[in-house]
Amino acid sequence: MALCKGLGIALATHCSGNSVESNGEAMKGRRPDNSDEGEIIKTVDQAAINGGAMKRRRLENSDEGEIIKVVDRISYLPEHVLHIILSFLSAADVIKAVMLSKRFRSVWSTSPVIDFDDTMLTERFGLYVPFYERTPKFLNFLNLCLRLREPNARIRKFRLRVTDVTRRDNRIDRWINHAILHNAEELDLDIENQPKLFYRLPQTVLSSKSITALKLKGFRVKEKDFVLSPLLMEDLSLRFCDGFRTFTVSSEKLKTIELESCYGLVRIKINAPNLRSFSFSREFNKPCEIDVGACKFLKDLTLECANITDKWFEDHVTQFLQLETLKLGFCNKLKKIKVSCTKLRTMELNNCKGLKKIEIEALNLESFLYSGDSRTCKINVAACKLLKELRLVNANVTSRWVEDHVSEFPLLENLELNGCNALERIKISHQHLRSFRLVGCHKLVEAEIHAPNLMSLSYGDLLLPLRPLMTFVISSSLVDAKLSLRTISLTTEWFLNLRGFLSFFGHCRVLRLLCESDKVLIFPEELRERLLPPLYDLKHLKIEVSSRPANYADLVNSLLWLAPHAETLSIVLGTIEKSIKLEYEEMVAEQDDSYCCRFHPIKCWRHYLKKVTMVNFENVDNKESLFKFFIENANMLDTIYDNTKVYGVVATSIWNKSET
Amino acid sequence: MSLSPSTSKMLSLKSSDGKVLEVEEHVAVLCETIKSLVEDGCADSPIPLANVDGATLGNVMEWCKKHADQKASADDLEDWDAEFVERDQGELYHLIMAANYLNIKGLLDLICQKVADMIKGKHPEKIREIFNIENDFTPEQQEQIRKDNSWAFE
Repeated sequence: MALCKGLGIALATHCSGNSVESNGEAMKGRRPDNSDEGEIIKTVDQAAINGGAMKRRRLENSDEGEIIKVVDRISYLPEHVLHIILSFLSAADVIKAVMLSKRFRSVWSTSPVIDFDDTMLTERFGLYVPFYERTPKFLNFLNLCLRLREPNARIRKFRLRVTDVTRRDNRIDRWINHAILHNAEELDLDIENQPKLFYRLPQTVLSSKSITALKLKGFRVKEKDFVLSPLLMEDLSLRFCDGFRTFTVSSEKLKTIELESCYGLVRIKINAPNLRSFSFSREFNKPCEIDVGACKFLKDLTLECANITDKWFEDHVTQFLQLETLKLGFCNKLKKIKVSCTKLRTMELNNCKGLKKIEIEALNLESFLYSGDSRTCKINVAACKLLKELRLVNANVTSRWVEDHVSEFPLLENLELNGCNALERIKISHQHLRSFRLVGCHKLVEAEIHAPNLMSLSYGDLLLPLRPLMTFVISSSLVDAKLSLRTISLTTEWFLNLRGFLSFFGHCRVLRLLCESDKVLIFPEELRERLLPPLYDLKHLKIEVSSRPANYADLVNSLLWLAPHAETLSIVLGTIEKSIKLEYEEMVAEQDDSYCCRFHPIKCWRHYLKKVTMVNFENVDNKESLFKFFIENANMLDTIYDNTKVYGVVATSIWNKSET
Repeated sequence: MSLSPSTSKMLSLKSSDGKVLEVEEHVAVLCETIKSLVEDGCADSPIPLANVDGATLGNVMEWCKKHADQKASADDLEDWDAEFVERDQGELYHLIMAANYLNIKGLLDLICQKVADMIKGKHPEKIREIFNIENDFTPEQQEQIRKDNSWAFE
């Protein structure tokens, strides 16, 4: 109990709340405590500068009678708290913070997290600063900073990113050595050089005993053989590094290893029984022997441009009973693979050009991606009953295959068929499907989708114009459909096909049309007169264009012909969305004897439109023509809202209500 | 030590201005400082917290209560936290000091992140203005700093 009482007292009398600070340094400043008396007292932290003497200063109110509300509290936070705040700032913001006052400079000088990044200088006032201007200045700056450091201050994390330094530079090496000497635990060094140019790695790095996480990019390691027997290292990443031909590590602690574009590498041997993640990638296929067989607890395996064979795959992958993610890309020697890891959840096969047969019996697989080059490859994933996501890109699968498989996966939510040119007709029937991307399947002429819960549908035929035979049946009214439209020439045939195709999407919740120019959507007048509109039931139509529409009135005219009862029309250009909200009157005026819709059973917007609200149309040239279009066409129109302005409409005249 | 809400007893916390707050034990132990007292069996009498005023203690315990709630999802907590930190500098300062004193890492990080967000992307002069930090460099030092850092921002 005596101990407890002691603790209680300690708690009650603890000064400055500085309970976790390790170096025993009490908070140097004092919080201004009688500021609420109407008197502003500001204590200046001189302790850091002159060794303990505290100075109080009275600030005169500059404007008579006005009391400055803000008092400087941030400067008096305990040092380790300010360290936490600095650790949440980017390198650029830290520099600015260091310039604030002596207190902040002193706080930085002991900060355990150091981050230098020259990309923050890439842009100044929106202008690009070339590296040959910024690198020398940046290196000088590093030097200045090193002089500011407290000699005994601990470093936990050191990150340095600099562009285009190939020659050995003292300013860089001194910092790296300083970090190692101060027992840095995390070291992240990134020298962004031109391809095949490297910075020589200081030897201290590989002999450090304190590092737990090491990331190197753009370095040349002097030894021909990279041998690492790290004591504490858990995470290792070598990217765009050169100089070593073999990579050998043996460690109980290692959890992740990433080797990307290590050009000279010919042999990898990893003996790390607790390794969770291994990733190897390079830009081209070159023989490299990979031995990771001892890593029995591997969860994530990524291999790109690895020269592995079917035998390697069988010997290794079947050993990894804990494997959850497997990604293989450009492993061109693989021909037949079979996977049966029970814990596997995600599998991606990306352009492994030699693959002829894929058999997956991983019962817990949730996501499968196959991307090929349209060559025949037999894919069997039917055993994966828990599949939620299936993506096939340039896969040579038949309609039969798709239909059979989709019905095998009761939990399927996302389906993508991209560039599958063997598909001509597909019929998908699924209860849970939420998202379906059907793009670039050029031979497709008929698609029937019965998916009551479908929320998102993307359809795009990237290269060819629409074909007249295309039919599309969708049985979900929740769907947000996105169609990419592209044509080479604006022929009558295009507009006839487009009209026919759009008519399948009339009952979507939202229809988005993506096109380069709005011209592909502006139907010629003689066609509009002759044909029935395709989207009578559509309420929300959205157009996403890459170039500015030439004339909004023409576009809106055509869109309202397509969807004569639309409630919103949106036109998206880049990140800016302009929208028009349309409100209708229930009844048509009795004396409506307008020429249009004379022969149509359902009358168009012209007979009902009462209010128009335009959003984001401030900077549109020729806005008057859009006003004029509405006023002249809508018989019942009485108000137009444009941003903050309100216009009243009577007959064909308009006045600004908001000004009267 | 795991304490389920149903069996949780109440702890009394006494603030610097003498206010006593009754808090469920499983909520209060989010404060490492209080947790070690509980583990040592010293949490019977009202625990005096000499550096936390009543209003701040109330705010801290509100945060602890939300974060002790097993049912709250990560997204939910994120939204709630974002609203929680919408306060003036005085309150943020007291919360930081309390989180530090009571040793609540999650809360300390949250407020520090908020302060960092207030600094981000701003010019030093603007930061000084926001926090009323006095520039105590001599004109010569100031000139030197300006020279050293002129490449970073003008």
